[in-house]
Amino acid sequence: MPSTLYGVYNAQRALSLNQAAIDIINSNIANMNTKGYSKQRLEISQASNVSPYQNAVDATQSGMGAIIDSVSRNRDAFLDNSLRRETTDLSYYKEYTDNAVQLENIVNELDDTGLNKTLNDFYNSLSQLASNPNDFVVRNSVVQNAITLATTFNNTYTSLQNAKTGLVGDITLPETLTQSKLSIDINDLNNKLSAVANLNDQINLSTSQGMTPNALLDQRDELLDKISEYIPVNITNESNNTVTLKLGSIELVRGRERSGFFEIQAGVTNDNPSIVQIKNDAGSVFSTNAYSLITSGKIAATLQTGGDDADKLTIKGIMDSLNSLASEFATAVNTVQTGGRYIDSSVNPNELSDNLSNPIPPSLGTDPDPEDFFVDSDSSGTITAGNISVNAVISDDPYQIAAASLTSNLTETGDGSNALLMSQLRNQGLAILGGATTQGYITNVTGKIGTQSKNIQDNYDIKSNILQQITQKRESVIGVSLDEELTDLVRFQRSYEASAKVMQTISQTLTTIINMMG
Amino acid sequence: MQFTRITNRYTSESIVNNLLINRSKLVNLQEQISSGKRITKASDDVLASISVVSANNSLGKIDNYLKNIDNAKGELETAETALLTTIDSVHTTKELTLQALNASSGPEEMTILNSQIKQIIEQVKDIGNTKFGTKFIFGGLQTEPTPFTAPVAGEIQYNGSPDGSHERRVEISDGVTIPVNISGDSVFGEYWIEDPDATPASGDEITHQQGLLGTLIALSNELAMPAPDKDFVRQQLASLDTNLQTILNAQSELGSLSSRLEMTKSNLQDDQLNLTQIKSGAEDIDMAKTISELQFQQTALQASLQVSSQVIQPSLLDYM
Repeated sequence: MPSTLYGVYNAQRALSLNQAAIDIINSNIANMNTKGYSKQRLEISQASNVSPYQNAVDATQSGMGAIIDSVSRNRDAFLDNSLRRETTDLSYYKEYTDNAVQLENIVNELDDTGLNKTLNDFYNSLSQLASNPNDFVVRNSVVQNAITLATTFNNTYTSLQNAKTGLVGDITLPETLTQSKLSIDINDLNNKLSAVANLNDQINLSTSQGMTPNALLDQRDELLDKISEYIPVNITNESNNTVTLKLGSIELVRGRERSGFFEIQAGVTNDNPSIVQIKNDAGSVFSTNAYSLITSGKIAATLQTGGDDADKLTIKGIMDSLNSLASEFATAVNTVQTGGRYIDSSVNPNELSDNLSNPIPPSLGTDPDPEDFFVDSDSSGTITAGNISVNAVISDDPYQIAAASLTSNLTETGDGSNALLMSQLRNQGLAILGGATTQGYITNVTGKIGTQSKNIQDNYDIKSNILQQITQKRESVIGVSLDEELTDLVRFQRSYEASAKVMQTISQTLTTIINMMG
Repeated sequence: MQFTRITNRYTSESIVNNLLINRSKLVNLQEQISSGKRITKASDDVLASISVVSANNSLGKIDNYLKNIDNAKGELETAETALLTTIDSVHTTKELTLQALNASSGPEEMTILNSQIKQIIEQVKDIGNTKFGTKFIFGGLQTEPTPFTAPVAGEIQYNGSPDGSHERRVEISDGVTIPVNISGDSVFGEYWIEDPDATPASGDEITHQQGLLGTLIALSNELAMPAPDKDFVRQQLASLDTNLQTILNAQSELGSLSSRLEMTKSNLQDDQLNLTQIKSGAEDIDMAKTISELQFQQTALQASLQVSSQVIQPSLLDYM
């Protein structure tokens, strides 16, 4: 037989239970728009304190009231996992799309400012020179167009170089390695890994004290979502409520320890200026180059764009193409240039050069052979897109362009056949360029970059659709529905009122008995 | 019936997302219409971009070829006009020569006729020095110094490139070049006396006499004699006919070059039109289509805005 005041306690418990339920609703509504907040629920069950020592009559299973088991979060581990997987891929393609569009804008051939246009202008001015070889204005326009062409090569190359340095740095400028996008992302990631380890510790502590640290769990889930943007991380939930993070088979976080972190080492060559290593605080190195482990996420996009993987869209790939083009083009023009005769303006503007190695018979050659048209501005010995420039001898004196052929006589300054040959280089396939003409090569490169970029963008679109669906699905699970909360509010309010009524009734019953005693 | 738990973040997420999609489509269409271009970078449409870039290459070349053709036509026309004038001069000379052969012509008439022929020689020399722009067109590859000069009175020397391989060629389409000049010495000829040891009257002088000028100067020299040899004069009449034939041949050569240029030009212009159409088809927007798409997109955006505002508002709160 329960005590006389049992009912009062029972009613009081019911009142505080309803109060707690309303508090939860309060918190749910307050966090309705908080990102990462999962709707909390009061888990209520019927109270039963049946003990094996009570006899059957006393063991009244009814009338014990209700008790709060726990405050749970609405969460679906499966959705969380697939959302994080898709987040990794999406941020990979997003980052790569940004990079690809930037590269496409740098080497844009669709507007009237690209290499194609400047090459065209150069060839056209040479063709004009072929018809008017002793016209100084035409010669000067060839020089100007050549300078514009070289500058366009240089500027495009520098822009690409800068883009690459911004992403992964440059080993010749060590300070760029720590200022690169990769370095900043790696630091963020390391901090987030530490934060997960800390949260693991706190969560473990709270759980062991019998608490449900829902706010901390939400925080950790939010962090895990963020970490998934950087690398394809494996997340395992451990029995003590901590999570273990791994990249491939390398542990990054276990329990309260950040057992692995990322560090950037300067590469051997500028093809891969930054190498990502995984180490621990004790100094052990788990991976000397994590490139093959980081297959997705925004760090992968940065590494790949700045790396030298021939199958990917890389800045190096584009720079190499431009270098081949610049060097092949310059060599072809120089070969024709040095096989002709220029106008020896310092001696006699009406006479061609009597080249030392190709004299005009019957006299012996007295003039220097024609100088190269294009040279490397840094005297490195190889012409690249970065250093191609017009020989100062020619830009100072446009008469030095060898427009006439070797077969012409001394006074035949009207011979433009060598200039014509230079202009006809536009129709000539060059072996190093895969047999393509200079402009055909630009078309190929543009097409290749466009196709790769399109591919990345298409994947980005697909992934963002998938992620959108999963995000919405997850919001449907963890989000707060105002209608639901308000319904619950009414429910628990009524329940509270009713419990109070019960309390009042019991109180009246007791009063009746006490009065009878009177 | 299965239903999804619709939470407030779910609703706002989907509304914001859909509105963003609609807006970005709208902005994209607006950009296309204001720029008139369908593609701004290669990845927008790779195949179309490649067509645009290769069309740009070919159009650049065609522009250049057309410029060359116009230039060449100018030069050829100048040469044709020069030859026409020369033909007139040859006819005049023939009439004068016939007058000289006339039995009644005395020494005074001869002097008058000779001075007229001398005028014609000057005229032919000037025609030989015709310029197109800054170039002497009859000097072959030597376009700068004057081709026909008179170092000694009564002689005319040709200083330009000799006839043969020294023609100036202009590119008029891929790999096709045509000559735009005819050599001055073959058409106009020359007459001068070379003295290898530079001592007058040693008898080893070489007379360079050829072509029209050769005939004219020989004729003039004969008429200046006190008693001109009528047989010699008659022979010059036959030479004049040969010279005339040479000039007529040159003229027909120029004419056929001109018509070839004309034909190439019209082919190139056809190509230019085709390429421009291909390029435009690849990169330009279809205005009517794009504008109607824009209007459709505007309606879609308005509708989703309207619906969204209605979906966000109501909750149970409104009825409590």
